[in-house]
Amino acid sequence: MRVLPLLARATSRSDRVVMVVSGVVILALAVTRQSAPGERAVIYRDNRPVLTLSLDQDRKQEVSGRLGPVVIQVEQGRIRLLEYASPRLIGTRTGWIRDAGQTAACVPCGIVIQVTGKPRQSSQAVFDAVSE
Amino acid sequence: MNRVRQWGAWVVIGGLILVGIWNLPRGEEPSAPHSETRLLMGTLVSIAIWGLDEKSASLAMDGAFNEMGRIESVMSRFLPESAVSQVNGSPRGRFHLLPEEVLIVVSRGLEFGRMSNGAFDIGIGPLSDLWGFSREPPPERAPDPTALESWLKLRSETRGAGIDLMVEDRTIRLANESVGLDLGGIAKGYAVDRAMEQLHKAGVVNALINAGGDMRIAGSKGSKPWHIGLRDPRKPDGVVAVMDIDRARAISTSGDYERFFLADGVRHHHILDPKSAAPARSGLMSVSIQANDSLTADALSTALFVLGERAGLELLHRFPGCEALLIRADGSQLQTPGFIASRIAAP
Repeated sequence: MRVLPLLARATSRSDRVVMVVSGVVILALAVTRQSAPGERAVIYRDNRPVLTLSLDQDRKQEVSGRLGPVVIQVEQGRIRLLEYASPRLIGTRTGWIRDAGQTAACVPCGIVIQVTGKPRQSSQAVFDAVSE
Repeated sequence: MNRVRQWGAWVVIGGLILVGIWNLPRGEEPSAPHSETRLLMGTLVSIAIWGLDEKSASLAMDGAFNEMGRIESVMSRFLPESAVSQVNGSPRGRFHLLPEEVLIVVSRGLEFGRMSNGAFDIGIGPLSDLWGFSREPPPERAPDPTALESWLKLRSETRGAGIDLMVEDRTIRLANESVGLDLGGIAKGYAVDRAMEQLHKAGVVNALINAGGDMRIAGSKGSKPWHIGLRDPRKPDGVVAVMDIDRARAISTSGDYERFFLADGVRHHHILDPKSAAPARSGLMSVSIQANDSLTADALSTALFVLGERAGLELLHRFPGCEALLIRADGSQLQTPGFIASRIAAP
């Protein structure tokens, strides 16, 4: 706790302003280098874009899939395939997605949701792919 | 005192800058690969390219996706106009002309069939239809046993896979109604290989293609390898192995969890054993193969799954450069020495 008084004595006011500004600039640079959660999602039907949804507006939207209507839900900045007209819902297991580059799909419906933006930088916690 | 203040200020500022630089991503390397995902061949296909500008990467990916789409249009048994559907719809016992590309894949498929003593079989289309794992909605009960017995009886009247291939004439003949082409265990691998070829032609050096678990890897992500997980057979969000790969390699996994239904406490999955006309019960939950090409990895993962551990590993030894990781029904694992996996955890 003696660091602050020592710093105050060792620096002038203008020095401290320079230090604070430098700190803010470095912090801003570091933050902007990593992607934020995506702001929009594009809905594809058979690989063709059919709809773009903003992720800052909660809503349920129906789109036409190969097997019937598919419901897509946006809530609190995230998006998911909610259901389609099948008793087995096999396309909905991905759950919520929110980060740029993430994808959810209902393969038999031909529907893919992709969150737009630059994907987050790879980290040890995230795989480039999963073999399954 | 002023001099002390000045020195102090500059030391602190210098420290802040150093910390900032240290925390930033390494200068000359792009932060993330360019990637795109499309629906092709009944699955999600993703391509990631590292080290190219966005426009060039996008063009290269278009070429690769188009190539996979073209192959699907020729080799899918679900598209009525495909060459495979034309053969399946033709009268049995007569020769039928095949496009050269299909001939090559069928020929490789028959070779895997012979080497695996029939465990890998590209002629089980009618049996696959009986089980209906590709139907929507998916099945909830096993087919009528009488229908399976009839299929087995008709199949026993054929020789081998019941497929005659005349390579020089580019013709094929299916023996009887128990035989129909189903290239599901090999065509995706072939398509991934051709897609990677397209990427290389477009100048791509570092790429990862993932077609629903059938993967082909080229190069790396600059100073980092491609970081790939191997799915836990019983936990959809879990992984049991991590593969960090920075060289040309193909990976394919076959498991009893991808398409299945539970009936009377029994797990009925989509990997069928032609000898029993039922889902393979070989004591394995999943088989992952690393090979030099996707076609081989794709076919071997299915063949080993059907054969089981002992016969499967005997088959594997006949394919130099191929490695395997088997997960047994009790969750224990067997990994051949050359299989690249940096960390293994019990499922």
